[in-house]
Amino acid sequence: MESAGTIKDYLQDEINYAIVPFKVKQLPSNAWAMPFITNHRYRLHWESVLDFADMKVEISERWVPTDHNMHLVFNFTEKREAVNITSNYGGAGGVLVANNTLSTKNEVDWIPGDMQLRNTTIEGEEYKKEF
Amino acid sequence: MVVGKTENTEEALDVASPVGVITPRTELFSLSGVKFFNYNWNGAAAFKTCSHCFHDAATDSGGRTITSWDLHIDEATVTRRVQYSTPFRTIFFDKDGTLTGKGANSWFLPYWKHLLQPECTQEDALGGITCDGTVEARRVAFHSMPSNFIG
Repeated sequence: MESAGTIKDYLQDEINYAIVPFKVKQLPSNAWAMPFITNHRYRLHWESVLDFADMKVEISERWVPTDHNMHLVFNFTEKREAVNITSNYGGAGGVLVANNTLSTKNEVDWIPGDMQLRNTTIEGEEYKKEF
Repeated sequence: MVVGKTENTEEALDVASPVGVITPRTELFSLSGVKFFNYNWNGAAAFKTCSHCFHDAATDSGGRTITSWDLHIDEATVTRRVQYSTPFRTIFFDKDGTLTGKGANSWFLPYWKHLLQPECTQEDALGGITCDGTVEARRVAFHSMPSNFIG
């Protein structure tokens, strides 16, 4: 959702976005599980502004190939040597997804995990100053 | 047929907020051919979500999908469709629109700001958000961060 003013103005008015409580419990534990509407793009970040070093994304077993796409946007503030997205939770048989697959592949060929890394350092620093 | 109360009701029921069906905390539950009458007081509703998910010892991360079709929800006597409970994330997939009123393959969802997309409508009186059949509602879980991330 777009809003007039600075990012700080936007974030200070909680009517602009959803805050999802962390859940300790099961399936999976220590998780944030939420419904999302397909065919839209969501920007997610953590209230503490911490960067995660590792994270797993569990997609509902109800997903089917005919579903619309959904884009998730994550920021990172600290320097990163690499940003890797790997299928199968990075376990056996997992495949490292190449960068820019969102722009180099046709949309019909996209698979879960296709990505585009935007290393916008200056914007990141400005973002931090807002807090 | 599920009836909230009859003319022979009692005070204990009148001060409660009963529901017709409590949905499970698992995937693949479906419901059809059910009729709901007389759930129109004190937050009573046709459905409540995620059975016993409030319990500290055993719960679920939520966001499971319930499939329904061929429901009859009496407009005159059933105001609220869903009474969401912890963790407020259950997805209803309505195959024929008899739950949402938005046609085939529509969705009933809890209120979260990010779900108010153009295909969706905030329906406070009904208890959540309804979305039409041009999109899908899917659960996504984010987890397994390092312990120092989640404290």
